[in-house]
Amino acid sequence: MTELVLYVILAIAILVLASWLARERSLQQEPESAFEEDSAKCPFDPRCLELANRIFDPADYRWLREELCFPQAASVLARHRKELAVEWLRGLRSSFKELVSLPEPAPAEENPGREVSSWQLLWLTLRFHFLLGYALAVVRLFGPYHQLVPRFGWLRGLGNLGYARTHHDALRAGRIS
Amino acid sequence: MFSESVTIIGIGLMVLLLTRAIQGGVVPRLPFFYSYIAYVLVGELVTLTFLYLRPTYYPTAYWFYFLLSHIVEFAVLLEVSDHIFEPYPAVRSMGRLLCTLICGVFLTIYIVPFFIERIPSNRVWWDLVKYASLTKALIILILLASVRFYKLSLGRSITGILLGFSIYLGVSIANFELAETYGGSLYAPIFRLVLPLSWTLGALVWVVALWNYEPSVVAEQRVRAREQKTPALVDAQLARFNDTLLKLMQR
Repeated sequence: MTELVLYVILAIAILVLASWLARERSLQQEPESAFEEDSAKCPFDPRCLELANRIFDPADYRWLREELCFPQAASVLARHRKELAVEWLRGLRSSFKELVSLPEPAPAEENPGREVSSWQLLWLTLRFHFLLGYALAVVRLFGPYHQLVPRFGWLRGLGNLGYARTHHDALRAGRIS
Repeated sequence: MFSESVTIIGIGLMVLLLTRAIQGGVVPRLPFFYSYIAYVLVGELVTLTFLYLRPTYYPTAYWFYFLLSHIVEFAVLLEVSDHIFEPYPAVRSMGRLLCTLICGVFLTIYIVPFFIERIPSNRVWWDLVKYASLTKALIILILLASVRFYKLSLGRSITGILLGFSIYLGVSIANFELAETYGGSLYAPIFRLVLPLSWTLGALVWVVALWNYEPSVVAEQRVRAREQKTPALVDAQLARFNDTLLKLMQR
């Protein structure tokens, strides 16, 4: 009986969801990000990229926390920068979606310049989504100053530790013998 | 008697759909879909003939036609997904990828165990049809969600095809589950009515949506594209987006 109820609810959900998803979107939509209007003009504008460098630069945070010794002010700054970082990433996503949603000017059969494989373009699209999703997750969980790509230098440290221990053991063995 | 009347109405709608498509020269735009409609039309006429002239052969004929139509519907959804994403270079192959992945999962979870496990044969076929309908419904929902996510244009015709399929598949899922739960002796009369009714409702939506065919991206939208978004240019811009993000992540 449970299975029956489940499948009936599933059937109703399919109908409701399909109708909801297929409805026409309103023409005027709220911008996804505070930067949407600005970044839509040119996401690769040097000023947009400079803004990103400043948002993700921890220099101000470290200066407040370590040099001036204002940890609370540093935390407030980090919180605001985190919001800015998320907005910037969402603006980038918005520009990307705009690129994706623009149709080809001519139907595919008439377009002679089809040297690029559609699977290659899809791979770039999916890779961007993955990278952006990962960046958003790291910024939301750890803030904008956290290393987005983890460094594996500590592995070398483990290797050196092993070498040091072997060297120490060899020296001890030499002294004993 | 009522179920036969519903079937006849469904046949009438299919004839209307095909006639309108041939008159409008729309068949080459959706060849799989209209082939499917033609197949169902012929299948319904043949099975009705068996029902009245050779009733002993009717169950076999009907189930063969019905199971084959379920397989063909996957190809129709693949064609529809190509239609949705074809105008957009960056996600042109997205529909194929989504359909292939979902069908792959379906094959792995439902079809492979069919050949491995020993289950009573009636239940196997009921379950197969139910899960095939569920898989197709999932494909439709994911396609619609992708369209919404990327804010793509769907057009009235493709929307109508997907909605028509959703109605038919959603009702089929509930119908087959009810039949499995209550059994043939109790539920058979309702099952025989609901099955053609669900399909006829779907066909009605298709007739309305495809009466005047509308492509998903009209010519004016292509002309209004701000820049010349050739695949090569889209490739270059996609690469720039990826590089921008990678440089940020590697700082």
